[in-house]
Amino acid sequence: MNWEWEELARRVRAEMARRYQEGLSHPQSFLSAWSSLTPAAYEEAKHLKRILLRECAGRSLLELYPGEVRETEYGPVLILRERRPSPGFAPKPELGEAWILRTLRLLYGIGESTEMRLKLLGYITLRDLLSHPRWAWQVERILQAVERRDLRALNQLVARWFPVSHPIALSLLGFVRPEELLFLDIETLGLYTEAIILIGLIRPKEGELEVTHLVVREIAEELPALALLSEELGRTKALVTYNGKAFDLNFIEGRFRYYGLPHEVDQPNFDLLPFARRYFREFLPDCRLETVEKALSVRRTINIPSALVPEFYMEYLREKNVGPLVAIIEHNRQDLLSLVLLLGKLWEELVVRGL
Amino acid sequence: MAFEGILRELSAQPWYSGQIVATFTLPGKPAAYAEPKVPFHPAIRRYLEREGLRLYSHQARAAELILAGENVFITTPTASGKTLAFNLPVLSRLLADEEGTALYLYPLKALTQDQLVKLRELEAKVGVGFQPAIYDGDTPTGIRPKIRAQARILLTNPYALHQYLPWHHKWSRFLKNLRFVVIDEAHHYRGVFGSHVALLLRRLKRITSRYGAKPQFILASATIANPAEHGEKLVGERMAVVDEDGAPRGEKTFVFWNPFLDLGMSWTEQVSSLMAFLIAEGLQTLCFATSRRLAEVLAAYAQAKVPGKKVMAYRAGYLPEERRAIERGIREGEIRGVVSTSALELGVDIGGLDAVIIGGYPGSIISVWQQAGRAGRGAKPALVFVVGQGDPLDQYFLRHPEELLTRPHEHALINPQNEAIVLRQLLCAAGEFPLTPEDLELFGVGKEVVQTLHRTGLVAGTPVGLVYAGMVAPVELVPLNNLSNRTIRIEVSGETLETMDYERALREAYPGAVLLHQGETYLVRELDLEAGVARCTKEELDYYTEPLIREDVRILRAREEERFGEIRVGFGEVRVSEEIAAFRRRRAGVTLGVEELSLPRLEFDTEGVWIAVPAGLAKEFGPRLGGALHGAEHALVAMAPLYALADRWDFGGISASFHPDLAASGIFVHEAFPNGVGLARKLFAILPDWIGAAADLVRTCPCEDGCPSCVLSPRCGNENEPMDKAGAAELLEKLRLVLSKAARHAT
Repeated sequence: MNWEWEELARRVRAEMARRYQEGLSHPQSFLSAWSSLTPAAYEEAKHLKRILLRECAGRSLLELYPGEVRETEYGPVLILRERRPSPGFAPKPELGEAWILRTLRLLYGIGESTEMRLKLLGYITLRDLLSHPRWAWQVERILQAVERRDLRALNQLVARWFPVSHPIALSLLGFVRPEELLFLDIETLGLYTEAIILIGLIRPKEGELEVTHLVVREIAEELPALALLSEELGRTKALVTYNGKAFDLNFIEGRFRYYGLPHEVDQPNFDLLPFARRYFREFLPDCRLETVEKALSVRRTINIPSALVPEFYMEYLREKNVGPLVAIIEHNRQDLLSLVLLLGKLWEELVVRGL
Repeated sequence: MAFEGILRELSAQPWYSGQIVATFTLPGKPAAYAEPKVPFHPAIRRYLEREGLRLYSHQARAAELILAGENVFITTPTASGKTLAFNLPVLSRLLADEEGTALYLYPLKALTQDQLVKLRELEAKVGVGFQPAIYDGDTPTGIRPKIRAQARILLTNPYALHQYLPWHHKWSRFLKNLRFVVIDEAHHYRGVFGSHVALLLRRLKRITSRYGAKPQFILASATIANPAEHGEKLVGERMAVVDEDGAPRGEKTFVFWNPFLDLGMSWTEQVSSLMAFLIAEGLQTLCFATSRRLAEVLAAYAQAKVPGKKVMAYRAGYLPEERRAIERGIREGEIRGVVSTSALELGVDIGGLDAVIIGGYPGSIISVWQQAGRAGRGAKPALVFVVGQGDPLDQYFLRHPEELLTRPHEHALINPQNEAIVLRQLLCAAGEFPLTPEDLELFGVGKEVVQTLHRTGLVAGTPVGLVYAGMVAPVELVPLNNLSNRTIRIEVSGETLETMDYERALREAYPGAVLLHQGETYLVRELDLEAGVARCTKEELDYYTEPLIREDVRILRAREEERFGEIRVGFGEVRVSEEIAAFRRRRAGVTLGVEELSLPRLEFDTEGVWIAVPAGLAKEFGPRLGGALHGAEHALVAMAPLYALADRWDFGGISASFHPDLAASGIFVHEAFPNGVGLARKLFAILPDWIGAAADLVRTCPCEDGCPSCVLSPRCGNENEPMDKAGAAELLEKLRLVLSKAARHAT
């Protein structure tokens, strides 16, 4: 006998809607890690959605933003691209070098007390140790890595002896040329293994910021978007993310594998979350990006809580109206710009002042 | 007979008054040994030589089949060395294949713990290190990456596998080298749960094949009637069955004890006296109880009777360390008596005991033999007492003891083709890799399902296949069974005493409830469901508490209703609820007082079938109506699994002399899973056949007033009362007659 498939499908749909709502309202839910959502914020977001739906009716994203549709071997994908003035941060290699040189503890066999003893004996930097019979060969290898700006090697070296939030770890960013740096933030339909719907990227270029959005206009465009992302990654020496170690990069790797793409994300990732925790711990209740933004005096014009991104995307698909998608793009853009600002702040406070 | 002396001694006890109604002795048999025809790795051979170990014939057979690359289903009795039968060839193969990995699945976390210990011991003796590890919800986050990177043997449960499969990219090393999937206690995977697990295994197979691996499947289970069929349906591949047991068996004496032949002494008093007697006679004794409370009470009573020997209770809910300690105490012989719930039926390693008391029919013949199998060490004789409880089902077995020992084992029924289950599992699969037309074949469905998947709105068609496009992870949307994952901690001055699931906490840990834990009494002061804690204080209490549970089924939406002459039948959405409205304080069977409770209802919506019995027909039964309806309901539920390819636990039922939604007396049979998976609809479609089968079942059953084959149910919430077999037979026969004569009218 045949079960009524239609009825089955209806039930699964209803179950999904129920679970999603439960997730939004229940504090113990799977979404709570994402962001907190007050009823007031929910109402405000719905209001915003109504306005956007009205304003954007009948318009396409390319009427609203500069960009193009790019054909890939996996199909088309929409790229939005614009230039923005840079807030003028400039991580410099000298600072990275200064941090490395003064940190004798990078050598195997030197702990805190030995470092202090050596400094008293006049070995102030690694260079001074070049004349030391015991340490010279290790120092040579480090200096070579600094010379070559071998980020991977230096990153490994620092990670072996220092916590991820230590300023010296951030100082390594100085070794990356700005145009080889990629700020990255993705928007997804969920926290586990759901689809990626927007990939936001910023690359510093010629003193400006090049802001790129790979927009998944329908789920079938996720694969071409990922293919373009991997092209971008090919031009990238290091990534800057916020909680990217736990979320974005993991998620992207999962999606690469899901589609059988042979890529992985193996660039050093400067996840600003631990640094932000170290710096803001004393004066902020938590270190969610929204909270940190307030400390950086960022004001958002169009914004929606992260937790509502999936709902907005679904509405965009259902209504065939880009309004809700615009809200997501703006949300993501602001996250990225805040990330750039935050890096400037942390660089100043931790790397420059820390010396 | 080996226990004549002890039984004679027993019958001389002052409290003995002829309760032994029958004694049977099953002969023992010597061990049958064999050498596997396919050789083990030299390291395993050296280990066997060093330890002077010879393999039983079934172990050798299983090993050679596994080493030859076949899928194997081992179904031999408890304590026949099943674990060794698959562990040796698995280790042997992993020794020869430096990257190879194996996945072990257990239905319960407690078993996983136990098996890990066993595997490690075996590894140490063989001299290998495959870093076996448990990976489930309890695995600390800190050690997870290391396990993913290194472990070659992974132990987990289906719930965890369901959660982790979408993360396959984190497991690429393990998956691409996967050689074995070991599924222990395979008889657990029955009915709706079993069907889900079967499809979960299809998902696993699809993923491993993407990673280029094709693992062998090894299943082990208690004796079931249909191992080959069950194994094939469960993993979707042919299985070689190993069921000839080569382990030695001592003579086993079954003694049937009817406690109701002495009404002067309570059931608990008799069972605990019996247990204490056996312990005093030097027999290490395990008593199975049908509830947690009973396990606690019997342990405490028995302990009081043999103060010099250690008697413990054992059940789910105890903290893992406590359980480990008890298991060790039993193995080492320091604990002389243990009273357990069905928790010790499974492969928890406690060794063999001298005597087992089966304190009430455990609900299936499979379980009876699992419990009896705990008695006996190798060729030593063993003693099994079967003590009946008061309900008609237990009484039936006491009247027909030979039935208990000769009835066939149950069939394990699953239906991986169930549309609702396939659909949900396909969504999960689409979240793991894009779903292609070839994949549908693996899941046993045709291309028409693609349309349905689209209609869920949760997948998107793309050039590479169907991609999951929902906002909630599909594995979150698809539970494998109907158990909640909310846990309540039972807390005494800030310390966790034990844990219970949410439903059980409502039934047992309501404010005012008395909880028993290793003979101590605790009073629940507060049940804080938000925080997930029941706060208790330790008190000396001489009473116990019992919840008064009100069960109900209401019709939410009739989807189809039909009239057969006077009889109305229907099918649709129902709400099944259970309300714990009050509890009683009791002492020795006397109610001291009743107190009301205000607790959330336990309820879920699912689908059900109802049969409204017209007033005219109902009147004919007079005062027998209740018993007739009840009996007919049980018979219908008993036949439902066969007609819907499911398990007994997948259905529930109620009967009522007046049901408001029917405005008549009637019977409901509903699914036990939230939302339903189409079983009720299936029953409705074949209603006349199904009712006819139930009528035949009762009519042709040779028993007098009802037996477990017809109207008596092991799950009945009302202890099979009222019950009227003849009335049920008459009612079902009338229903059949009307249904076969009248044309079906949709209303």
